[in-house]
Amino acid sequence: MAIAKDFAQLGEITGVARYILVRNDGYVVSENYEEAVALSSAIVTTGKYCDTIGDALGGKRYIYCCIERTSGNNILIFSLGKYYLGIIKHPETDPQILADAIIGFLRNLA
Amino acid sequence: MEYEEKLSDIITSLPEVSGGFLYSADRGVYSNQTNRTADNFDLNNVGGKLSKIVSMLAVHFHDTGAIRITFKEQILFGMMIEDHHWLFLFHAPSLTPGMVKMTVQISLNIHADEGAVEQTAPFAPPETTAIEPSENTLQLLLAPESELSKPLNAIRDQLAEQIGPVAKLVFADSIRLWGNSTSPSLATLPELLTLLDTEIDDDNDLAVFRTKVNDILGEV
Repeated sequence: MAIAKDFAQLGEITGVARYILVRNDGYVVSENYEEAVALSSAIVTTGKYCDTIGDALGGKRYIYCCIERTSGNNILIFSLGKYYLGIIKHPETDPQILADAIIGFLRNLA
Repeated sequence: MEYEEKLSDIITSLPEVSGGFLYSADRGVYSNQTNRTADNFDLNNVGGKLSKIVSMLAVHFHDTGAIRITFKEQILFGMMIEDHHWLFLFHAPSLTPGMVKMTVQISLNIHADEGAVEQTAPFAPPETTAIEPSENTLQLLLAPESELSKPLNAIRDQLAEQIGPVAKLVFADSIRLWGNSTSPSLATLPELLTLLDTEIDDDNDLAVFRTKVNDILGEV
C-alpha cells in the first residue's frame, strides 16, 4: 500500500485543483485543500453509498462518482478499499480525461 | 404524469440510453423504465442515496447539479428536474455527458445555460427547508423532558459506533423521515429502527446494532 506522501503527487496531475484522501472513519490522510476536514465525512459517505449502489444494481463495479458544479469545479470521488479519494477538478479539464489520469496514477501506486 | 412521457421520449431518442427512472423522496420510484432490469426496491435505494450525496455536497459547494456514477460498462446519470424530483438515466460510456445533459434539458424545456436545479428549484432554499425542520424536530425529541431523549441518544451513539463519522447526518435524516411518516413516540420507535437498519450495509455491524438497540429498548 502506498504511503500518504505518495498521494501528495496527486496535486501535480494536470486538472487536479484539490485532492483529499480520507480513511473510512473520516480521518484525513493526505490533502492539499484547506477545507479537507469539513469535507471528509461527505466524501466517505459518498464513497460508501456508491459502493453499495453497485451492489443494488446487480453487482456493477463502481469506478468513480462525479458531482457536477456550475463552476466547472466538478467533484470526483474514487473508492480505494478502506480509503476514499476526493478530487476537485479545474473547470477547463474534461472529467473523463482527468478520471483516466487518476486511475493511471493509482495503478502505478499499487 | 408529464415527466414519465418525457423520460420515455429521452430513452427512445438516444439508443445509448438503456433505461431510466423517476424518483422523489416522498414517493420513491414512481416511474421505472428499466425494462425491469432493476426492481423498485433497489432503485429506491439508489435514488435515495444519490440525492443524499448531492444534498450533502451542496452544504459545502452551493453550485452542485447533476451526478454521474461511472461503472465498468455503464454510466448512471441523475439530475434534479423539480423540487426533490430526480430523473435518472442508464447510458453507455460512449454517450458524452454534454449530450446527455443537453437532451434532458431540451426534453424538459430547461434553458441550456442554467442547470435544472437552479432553473426549477434554487438549491439553497430547498436545502434550508429540508434541514431546519429536521434539526428542530431532532432538538425537540432529544430535549431532556422528552420521553424519547434517553433511547434516541443511546441509539444515535450505537449508530455512530457502527457507521462512523456519517452517523450524525444519517440519524438526522432518518428522524426527519420518521417524523414525516408517523408521530414520533416510544410506540413508533420500531419504525425509526427500520429506517436506520437500511443505513447499515455490513451484516455483522447490523446484527451488533440490533442487539445493542434491543438492550437499550429493554431498559426504557
